[in-house]
Amino acid sequence: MAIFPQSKYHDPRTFKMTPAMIRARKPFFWRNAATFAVLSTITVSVYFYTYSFLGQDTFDDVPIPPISDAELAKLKQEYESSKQAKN
Amino acid sequence: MFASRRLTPQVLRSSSSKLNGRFIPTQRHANRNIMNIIRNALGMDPPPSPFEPSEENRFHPWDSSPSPDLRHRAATIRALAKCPVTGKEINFTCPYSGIPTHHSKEAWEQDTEYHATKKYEILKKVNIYEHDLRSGREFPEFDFPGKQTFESQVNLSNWDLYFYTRQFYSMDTEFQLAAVTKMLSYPVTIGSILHQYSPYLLQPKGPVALEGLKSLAALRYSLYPNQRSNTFKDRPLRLFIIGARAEGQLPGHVWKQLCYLFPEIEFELHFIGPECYYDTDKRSYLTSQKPIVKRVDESLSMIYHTDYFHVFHQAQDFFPYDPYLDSFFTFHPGLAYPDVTDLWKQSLPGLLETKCPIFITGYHEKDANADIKWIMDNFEKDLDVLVNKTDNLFASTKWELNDLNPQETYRFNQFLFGIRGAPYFSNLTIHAISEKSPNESISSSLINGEHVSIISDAVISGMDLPRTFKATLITADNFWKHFKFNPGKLICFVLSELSLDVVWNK
Repeated sequence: MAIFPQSKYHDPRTFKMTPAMIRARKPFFWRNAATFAVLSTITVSVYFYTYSFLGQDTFDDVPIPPISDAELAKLKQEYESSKQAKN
Repeated sequence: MFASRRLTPQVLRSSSSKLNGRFIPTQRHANRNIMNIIRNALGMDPPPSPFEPSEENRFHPWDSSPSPDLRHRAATIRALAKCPVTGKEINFTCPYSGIPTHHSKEAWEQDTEYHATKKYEILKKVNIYEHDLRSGREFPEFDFPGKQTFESQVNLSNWDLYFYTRQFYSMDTEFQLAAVTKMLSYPVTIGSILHQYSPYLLQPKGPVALEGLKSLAALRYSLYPNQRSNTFKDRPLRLFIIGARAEGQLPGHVWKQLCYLFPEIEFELHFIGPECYYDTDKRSYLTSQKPIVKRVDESLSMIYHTDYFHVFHQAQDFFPYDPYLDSFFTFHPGLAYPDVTDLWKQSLPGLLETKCPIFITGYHEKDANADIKWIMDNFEKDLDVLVNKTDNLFASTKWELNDLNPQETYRFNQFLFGIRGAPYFSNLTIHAISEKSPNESISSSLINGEHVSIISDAVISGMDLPRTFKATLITADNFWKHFKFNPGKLICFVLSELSLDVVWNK
């Protein structure tokens, strides 16, 4: 016995709602759509606000440790050699 | 099961095996082709099958109908009905509806009302529904559901929601609806009135008058024992169906749909009328001295009383009536029809005397209006209107026509209204008659239920008594139990919890 038996109100092949179900849901369609619009607006606006707020951050306040040119050249050489070793 | 919706009955019979009462399609896979696969992938509907009911394949003029019944009905119309334009016999079959409607083609063309109101569209529906019932297709929609599953409420807003929330077979076409609603109209109409989530709201939002709500509240007290502190169950609820004909022939499992709306409540259906019991073996209406009892199961029994209501009422067979447990239903009684109006004139006073609600349906608006007019002309003083005339949300959706006048189309239980014998003075207003007037004159006027009005300044526990006020009293007899005269200028009168003094001044 299936836990979720095949719904009588869905086409067994396409899983589309049957005309009877569409008729039954008709009185609720516009109010459901309005509720969907309100809820999705809240969600989307929260995401949008978060994204735009975080996008303003330029990470200026993150301290970068001081490094001399000689040390930088050395690190670059190490990186190149490890890259060649891999190949 | 579901396959029968997509497959034709013919294909089903030839190519399917029946397993546990479900149809397993085998043919469909064989004739699958590339178009079907594409259509399936896109989620499109398959092309309509030529055997599925449609307006085209169910349309036949009744004169040349494949069904002998309908050819016979066409002949009846030709023999008995008269043309609405010329008043002569009917000889012309309307090409739009396939039903004989007029004397000649000229008369049909001249009938501007017929064309302006598109009457032929309704007549065409009569035609195609009748042919569909006789088409011999599978009727999977007659496989009714059982008990309502736990924690799922039935929505009684309309047929579609009722079928969906009760998980009926998915009825996708008007043909399936017409076949099923014609049967279920009777039990579901009753259920939709009595149910606690009835779609009929109190005035001004709906058609139910305050008096109607009082009667319905009394019945709902019995229908929902779990919602009250005292869960004592009295005898079964009695639903009297007066003048039963088709209702009495409905099988038990159809009436059982009413029980599923009120789980764990016991019902007794009392069908009353000389044509309430049809014996299918003898092919005639049976009359019996004793009531015929059919017990469907432990919560539903059907009892057939094969005589008029007034006969049983006078014999006190149904006594005592209890407005908490009893209600009356008459489905299209035709109160004003000359053939039966004398019988109703005998029955209706008895029905009003019971003080139980009476719900009446009509075939169409004219029929309902005629019934209401007849009741108001004859019994207006003795009754309260419970439900004003309203469209019955659970009317049959199958259009029918009157053979004697094919343009008179109707649907079963299309209109609904409710009345009840006036059990109490709903708008009791007390008239301050001169203090010298004898008590006798007051008592007689009140027992007759005549309205009297207050002219006195009176006080209810500090508040000013309005000029008219509503009081609830049980019966004329009880009224006198509560109503006491004080010698002098005061009437002291007690209404359940409310005590008020009325000062006579004149």
